[in-house]
Amino acid sequence: MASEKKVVFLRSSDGEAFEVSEEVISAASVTIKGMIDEESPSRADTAATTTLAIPNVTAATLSRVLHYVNKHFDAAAVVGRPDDYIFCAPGDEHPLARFDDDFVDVDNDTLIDLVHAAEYLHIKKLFDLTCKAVADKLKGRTIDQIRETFGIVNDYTVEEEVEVYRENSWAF
Amino acid sequence: MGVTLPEDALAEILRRLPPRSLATSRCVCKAWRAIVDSRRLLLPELLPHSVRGIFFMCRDINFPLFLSHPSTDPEMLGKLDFYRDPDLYGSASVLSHCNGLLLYEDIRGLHVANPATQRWAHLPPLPRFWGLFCHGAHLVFDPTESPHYEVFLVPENLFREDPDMERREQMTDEEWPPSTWVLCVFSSRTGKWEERAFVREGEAAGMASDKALQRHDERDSWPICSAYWNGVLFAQCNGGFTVMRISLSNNKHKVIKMPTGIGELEKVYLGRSKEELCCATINREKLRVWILDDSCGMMGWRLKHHIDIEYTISHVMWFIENEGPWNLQDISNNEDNGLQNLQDVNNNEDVNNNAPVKSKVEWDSDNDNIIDLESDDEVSFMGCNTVLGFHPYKDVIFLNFALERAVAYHLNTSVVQDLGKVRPDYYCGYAAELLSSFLYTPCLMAEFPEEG
Repeated sequence: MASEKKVVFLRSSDGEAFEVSEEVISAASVTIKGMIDEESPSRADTAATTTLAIPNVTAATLSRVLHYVNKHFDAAAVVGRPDDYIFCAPGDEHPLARFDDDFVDVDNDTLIDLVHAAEYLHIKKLFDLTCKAVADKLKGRTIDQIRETFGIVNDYTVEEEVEVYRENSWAF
Repeated sequence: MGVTLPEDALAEILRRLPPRSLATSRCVCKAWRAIVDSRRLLLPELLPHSVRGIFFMCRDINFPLFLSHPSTDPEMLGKLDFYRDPDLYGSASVLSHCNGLLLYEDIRGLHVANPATQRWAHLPPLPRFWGLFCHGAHLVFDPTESPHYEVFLVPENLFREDPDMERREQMTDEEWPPSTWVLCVFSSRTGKWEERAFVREGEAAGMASDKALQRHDERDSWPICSAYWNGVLFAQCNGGFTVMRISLSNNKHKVIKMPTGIGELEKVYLGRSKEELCCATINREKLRVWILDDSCGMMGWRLKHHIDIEYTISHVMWFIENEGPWNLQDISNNEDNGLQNLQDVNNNEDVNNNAPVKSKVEWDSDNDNIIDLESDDEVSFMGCNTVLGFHPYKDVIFLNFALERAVAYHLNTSVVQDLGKVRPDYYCGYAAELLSSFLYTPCLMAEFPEEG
């Protein structure tokens, strides 16, 4: 029993199913762990694998998320140090730092989709990573650059805009 | 696309931004402003935007003096350890101030403190070759960008400050500063001192052996000013003959020569006012203020103000007999400054009884204590007048008239606000001299990187 790893299937909003180790995804996602726990009484004595519907996440995004999850939460795949920043001396690069950097080096739409997915699936580490990546895209940008990058329409009236600029003029 | 993010996720993203970027984000659209405001992500009142006091170092006084409005918490200094226990730590000097953080030195070494939040850190000992160094230590801190700070050791000139004897001898006939200039930098991020190389852009100041670059030797006591904002540190070198523009983002440095027409013996004060680098001198009651014009790619000084302040001084001096609205706190004469009980760490309760009454009303940097220059009250007066500093956000310069009076002078309107006495009563004589001054802009951001 214990030697055989249980797997679950996750079905994306556009109908594609992905296989993932139950142990790994339970450690990563609070949401999916909750779904599995709900299911478990009914599947305790069947050998059938479970398929969980993830209606808010597309296949493209889900496959990225699972790539991240397998890298970060599969104990067998994580080599070297314990996967926690506090064990690293200042200046040491975290073993997965490069992976993380590459992971969020994507276009804005993809990144925002990942924020959505991380929030919905409740994967805190991924949520932190992607929020920070979006924040990094905002840092040092001008107001117009932010609007352009994120497709935001300026809804201030002229008077309101003068006022809000005045309040924050110290920052420009 | 950004607006399609749920509010919670957007708030989490914005929460990760430093204050400056948050202020920009507030202007993007109404929804973003609502998130920043409703979740109190940006608290501009905590940022160092107002001048609340002035630290002075005077010749032969072993502690900084502090002149401040009564609304500035009088206990603030009492909790800094060098103020608390002067007998234990000998003397203490303030070396640098940047956006609410102080760099000070006592017999234990260098320390960085935030007096407003009562947090401080003792810096590790300086590495070899830099061990005897203390001139030209500059704090670099911008709470709108990051809670971390750095301390730069910028050699003032080759002979005096390069700690490596051998290197000094080899380099006398080379350019100064060298094309690759190695500075010693402490970073609160790593908690370590490290050497960092800065590549020169443009011309050197001259040859290392040039007499003009050795000016500091003759004026041991002259202040070394610096200013830091937007990732660039400007530090005075060569006794005020040059300013080094040190860019932290691309590790480059550039020599800026001072404006022409400044006399050999004029003290040059350097500082930031608004988004510009300014320098100022006072010579024979003439105040001159230049700003660094960087617009055409050619850095040059432009004379912005040339003001005869003799009339102003004669009116201000009439006020000398009054105490002035700001109070002078002086640890070396702690009979009357309310700090005498602080040596007993466990008995802080008594402090309140002796501390100056805290005024509820903050100092109004536009309207309080304006001196009436129309009146006939004036005295004739002689003495050494110096610049104390520039208001970082207003066209205001702080001046010291003969160690007697500090005033805030509005450069565009000539309005003068009286601050208070600079000189403690016991401090007088020919050698009495103000060595350096630092305008204190409190920073109440709680985050402070500490040791360990």
